[in-house]
Formats: sequence, structure tokens, C-alpha cells
Amino acid sequence: MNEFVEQLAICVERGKVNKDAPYPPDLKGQDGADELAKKALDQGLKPDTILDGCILGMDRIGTKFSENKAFVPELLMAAKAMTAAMQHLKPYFQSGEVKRKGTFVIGTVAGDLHDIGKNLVAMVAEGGGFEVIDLGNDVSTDKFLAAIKEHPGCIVGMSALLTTTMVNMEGTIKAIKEQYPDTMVIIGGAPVTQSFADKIGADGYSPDPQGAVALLNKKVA
Amino acid sequence: MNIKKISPNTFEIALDYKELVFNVWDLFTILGYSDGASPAHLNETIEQVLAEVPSLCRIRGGYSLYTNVEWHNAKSVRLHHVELALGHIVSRQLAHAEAIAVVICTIGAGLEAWVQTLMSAGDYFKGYIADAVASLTVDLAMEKMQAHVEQEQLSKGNKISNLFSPGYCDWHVSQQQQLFALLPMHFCGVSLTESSLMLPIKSISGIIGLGTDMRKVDSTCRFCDKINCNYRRRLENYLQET
Ligand code: B1M
Repeated sequence: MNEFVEQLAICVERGKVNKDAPYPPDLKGQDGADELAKKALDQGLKPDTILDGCILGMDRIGTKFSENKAFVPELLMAAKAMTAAMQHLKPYFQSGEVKRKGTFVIGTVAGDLHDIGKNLVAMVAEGGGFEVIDLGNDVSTDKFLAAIKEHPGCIVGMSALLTTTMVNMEGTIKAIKEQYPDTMVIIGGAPVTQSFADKIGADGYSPDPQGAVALLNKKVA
Repeated sequence: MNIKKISPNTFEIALDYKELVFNVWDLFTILGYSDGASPAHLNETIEQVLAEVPSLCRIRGGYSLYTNVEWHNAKSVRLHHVELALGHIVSRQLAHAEAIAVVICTIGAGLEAWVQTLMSAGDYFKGYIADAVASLTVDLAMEKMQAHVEQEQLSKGNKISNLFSPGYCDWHVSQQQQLFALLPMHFCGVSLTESSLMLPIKSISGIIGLGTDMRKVDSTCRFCDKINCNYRRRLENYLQET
């Protein structure tokens, strides 16, 4: 089983989606995350092991990314491989046989249309074992509140790319804390800093996706 | 380059993508691979993306010239009743400007829409590369606009400063509202939202100082406090090569 987790983690970390994928060249012709996950289930391995492999692989590439040893393209390839493996888990998530660590609701704040950074955080969080509810861009306070109502106990993430839009986080956090004081809110994006997060009452800030997942893990630990 | 005078002080420029000098190494750098050690299939995807770009870009830019430059104080200037709170860093660079050009440039919304299509279809990898190509394209287009302004000014015996943009140095992004008040409405097809976001997204705005005592430094990154930035690395690479 450990061997399987390690094999899947390698495929995820290196972005080996499936057998046909030519990338990475040194794994050409070998099974990818897709085939490995399917075979594992066919051989009766517990579906949890697939999640473990994905989490391990995403954690490794996420750490490399934080250390500037890997860059966004590699992170995206890893996320693609992870998605290929995770699609086999859908029925198990639905039946409750496999449980995620928690629910992460994420969106780009009102007035802002940038979404690449937010998408990356969403992917890495999914790879980290969380169910991700992506609300998209230009997300109003009401939309965040509605999502929290629909997903009790969720953690909220907000992203912004301009100083003029990051200020909208403050009002949204205030409204969230008024109605759902126990909801954890984390923020990020190019102009955001730890001191800004402290000032507006966010529970956490991270400059990168891996740090965001570390905050989520801390909360659910 | 097609230049149209739309009022005595305003010029609109249309550029063809082919006029831009696209260096693939620049792209590697902004994607993070300043040492060239990129994933094997990156080249292939870049080629696929570059093949689509010319038909998806509509490069437009332009500028309005203001010759009445009134310094309000050490950090703000008034141009035609509009006060620009430039901050100390930009003001210092423009203190001796005899005129100021208010500039914008965009590549339109076509490429951005394609990025969205790729992303929605789950092709994040290609989508991200296309997004980076779009960002680089508008940067290169703005460089062309600056070069044009410089040529024009040289012929009058003037020099130009660097381009300074709201949101950089200590000039707040909210000042985009003032900057846009100095340009015709929807100039070059660019509009500004209440939150000071330009639409299309792949657009750049700024001002350039003009005059006999203007100076252009190698890179405005030296005025910026964002150290961990791939765009800074791109400029540093360029400066090392030249
Ligand atoms: C929930 O928890 C979390 C945790 C982590 C989270 C998170 C949430 N969300 C994000 N993260 C984090 O994880 C992601 C992965 O690492 C990261 O997400 P990002 O979204 O930050 O990163 C993306 C994956 C890649 N990064 C990017 O795409 C942005 C890179 C930089 C260089 C940048 C670029 C490329 C561009 N820009 Co401009 N641009 C800059 C950027 C400087 C920088 N180095 O960050 C920034 C964002 N830009 C800025 C500015 C000012 C502007 N830009 C402008 C234009 C442009 C280009 C068109 C040239 C281009 C494209 C922009 C785009 N996104 O489409 C203008 C605005 C455009 C508009 N439409 O209104 C303009 C206003 C300049 C002007 N006057 O023309 C600055 C904003 C700061 C501010 N003062 O508000 C800026 C930080 C540069 C700077 N040195 O100050 C992290 O932030």
C-alpha cells in the first residue's frame, strides 16, 4: 500500500496525468495518476490511499513552489494529475466513505476580476485534501455569507490583486464575523501583507498556496 | 504603427502584433525559469499559444499631452485642473518635466477571453501560459508606445522620463480615477471600474515626463519594493545582457 501511495505521489508531484501523456519525458509510456488510481480501486485498495497519494504529491510540489524550486506551470501539471486521480474518488466522496479534511470556500473579492492566483490556491487546497467551493471573481459579501450558510463549518479564503480591491476584504470579514464568529477567514494576493490581515481581522495570511493549506491544516488538526 | 490625432493634444495608436519583438526567454523568466531549466513540454505549449495570439490581440494605445504642469507640492501635480497625488518617488523623477504625457495601452479582451475558455475547460496549464503571454504582450506594446513618444520628443529636442503607473512606488492605484479624467472617455476601448480596475484586464496606464531635463533610468524596478518578482528578474536579465 505504501508503495502505491509513493507511486501515485510521484505521478502527482511530477504532473504525470495518464499513460498517454508525453510529460514528463522520463515517465513516457508508464501509468499515470489516472491509471494508478483506477488500478488501486480494482485491486481492492482502500479509496483513502488514493487521497493519501494525492496529498503527499501535492505537498511535495507545493513545498518546492514555496522554496522557488518549482514554478506555477509545474504546480498546474501536478494539479491536473491530482484531478485525474481524484475523479475516481467522486462516488466515495458522495457516499461519505472517503472524507475530506474540511470545506474551503474561496473567492476573489468584490470589485476584482483576477483569478489565476485564487485558482492556484483552490487547486492546492483540493490537493491538500479539502473540498473546495470556488465562488469565482468579484464575489460580494452576500455571496460569501450564503456559501457559509450552505457549508457550515467551512473555512473562507479571499484573494485580491490590487490595493483598491483588497480593502473590500475588510467589510466582508466584518459581516462574516458578525454572523458566523467561529468561521476562520484567510486572505492572500500580491498586495496583501500580514499586517493588513491583522488590521482587518483576518485569521490568517499566506503569500503562497502552500502556506494557505498549512493554515487550513492547522485549523482542522 | 498607425497614429491618429483625435484632438489637438490626443493621439491614438494602433499596433500590429508583428511589430512587437517577442523574446521567448522573457517569457521563461516571467514564468519563473530564469535559468532556462523549464519543463520539457513548455516550449511546445508556448508555440501553440503564440500561434493563436496575433488573431486574438487588438493592440491599441495612445496619449494626451499636457503642457501646463503645475506642481501643487512636493508630491502632487496639477494637469488641467486634475490633481495627481503622485507621491514623493514619482514626483522627484518628474520635478523638471515641462510637459506630461498621460498614456494607456491595451491588447483588448480577445486573449483574456481565450484564457477564460481554456481555464473553464480545465486546461489550466495552457491557460496560464496564454495569460503570461498576454501580460508580456501588453508590456511590450507599452514599450513601443514609449519609444514612439521618445522619438517624437527627440525631434523637438526633448527627452523623456520612464513610465510611471498608478499602483507603483507610492502612487496609489485609486489615482487611476484622476488619470482617466485626463483621457477621453473609453479611450482605446479601456474603461475603469469603481474599484479602479481597467477593463480589458490586460491594460497598462501611466504618465511620462517630457522636457530637456528628463532622464530615463534602466529600470523602474529600482523604485519598486516588490523584490520577489519575476518581472523584476526579466529586467535584470535584460540589463545583464546589454
Ligand atoms: C486565501 O489565501 C490566499 C493565499 C495566497 C494567495 C491568495 C489567497 N491569492 C493569491 N495568493 C498567492 O498565491 C498565488 C500563487 O503564488 C499568488 O497569486 P497572484 O495572483 O499574486 O500571482 C499570480 C499567480 C501571478 N501573478 C500575476 O499574474 C501578477 C504579476 C504582476 C507582475 C503583474 C502583472 C503580470 C500585470 N499587471 Co500588475 N502586476 C502585478 C504583479 C506583481 C507581482 N510580482 O505579483 C501587480 C499586481 N500589478 C500592480 C499594478 C499596480 C497594476 N498592474 C496592472 C497591469 C498589469 C499587466 C496587464 C501588465 C499584467 C497582467 C495582470 C493580470 N493579472 O492579468 C495595472 C492594473 C491592470 C488593470 N486591469 O487594472 C496596474 C494598476 C498598473 C497600471 N497602472 O497600469 C500592482 C498591484 C499593487 C497595488 N498597488 O495595488 C502589482 C503587485 C505590481 C507592483 N509591483 O506593485 C499569490 O499572491
